[in-house]
Amino acid sequence: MADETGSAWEDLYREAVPRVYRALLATLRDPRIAEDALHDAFAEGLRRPPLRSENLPGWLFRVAVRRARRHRWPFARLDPTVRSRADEIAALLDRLETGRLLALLTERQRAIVVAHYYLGLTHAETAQLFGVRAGTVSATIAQAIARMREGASHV
Amino acid sequence: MSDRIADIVRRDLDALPVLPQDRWLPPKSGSRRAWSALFLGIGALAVLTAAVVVGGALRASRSTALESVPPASRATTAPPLRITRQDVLARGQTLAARVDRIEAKLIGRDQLDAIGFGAAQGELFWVVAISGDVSAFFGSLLPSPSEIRHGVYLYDARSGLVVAGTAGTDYWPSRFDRLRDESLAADSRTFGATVVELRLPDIVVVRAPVDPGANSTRPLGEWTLRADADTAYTWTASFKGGNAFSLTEMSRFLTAGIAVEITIAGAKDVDGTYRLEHIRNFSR
Repeated sequence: MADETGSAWEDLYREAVPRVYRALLATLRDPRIAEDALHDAFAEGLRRPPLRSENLPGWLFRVAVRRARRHRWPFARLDPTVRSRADEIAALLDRLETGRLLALLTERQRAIVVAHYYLGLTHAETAQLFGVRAGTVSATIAQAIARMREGASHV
Repeated sequence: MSDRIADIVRRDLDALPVLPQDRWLPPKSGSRRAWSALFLGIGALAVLTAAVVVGGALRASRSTALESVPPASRATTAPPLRITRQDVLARGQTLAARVDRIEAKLIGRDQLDAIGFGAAQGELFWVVAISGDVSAFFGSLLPSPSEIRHGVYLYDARSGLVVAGTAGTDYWPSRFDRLRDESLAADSRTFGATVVELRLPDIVVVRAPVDPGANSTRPLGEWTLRADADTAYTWTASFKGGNAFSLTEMSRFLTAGIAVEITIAGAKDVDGTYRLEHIRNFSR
């Protein structure tokens, strides 16, 4: 018997990967950590699929960010190939206005800003995904924007 | 400013490179091969199961809970997602004329044999155990409905439909207690705690060792736990047990100072809370 559900999950995951991977790059600023965290989120989805009501890219993003926060994969940083790719991404982010502005934020603020502005989640959806109240999301975004606005005059 | 930020975030992040397609999926590992194996085979008991399926599906179709399945995500089609513990408990309740105790566990194919449902099709299931008057469901299938004291039902976790069922004369199915609940996170931690306060509808604050794994020095601290639709509640007193689908229903038991065993997800959420996966009393 074919693993129909597993295939369906893989199809949905593949649809979401480009946006979620970019969101992770912008948040975590390290391609190796972003890739490993994304793989962890895929495996988590196989084991414990998200609920029907959940936004799939948002779910993948949240699980991956949480995994990344728990594991920093220090050994990956010793691999010169990986390090060089991480440096390329960091350099690219530094060339982009968004990259420079996001660098002014904490990782938590980045995650919430990226979820809201890039993945297109509403405050309520972002709050649900991160397990916080909608008011906390609004406040975090307001603080982040204030910081980015202040930074925009310098970058 | 926020509109401009939205624009530049979208524009700039779309310019970031995408992971090469051959690296989208994790490298095959032992666990992934094992997962693929979950989908192999249908047992010889399928015919017997089918009889129960028909009965279960007919009864379940009467349930209003079936209509409460959340709509599919707007962003996806035919998502391979599952119903929550609260959903399946609500459905299970409709199968019994009287419920004394009811619990649910999420299992994969690898545990089907342990509960006697090896022939069922699918790969992710909720097992619902009910103690009480379940004879109506099994009355036409078993010889002595008056002696039936518990029922065990297998639900497809994706569709929410009953796919098999069995009954017994014990108050509670001991086999159910031996099942591993797959709804718990891989990094779950279980430890003893004392209830400090409830903040309904979903927060319970407990006092427990700051480091529950430590053997010697165990300073105490407060843990803020958040319940959700998958949180499991176990409340037993002698052979009897309580039923709760939410922290609000559980509130009459969770008074300040009472000792409980809690299982929480390993990682703290951004707001400082931990996901409450399971809470049970110590009087068992």
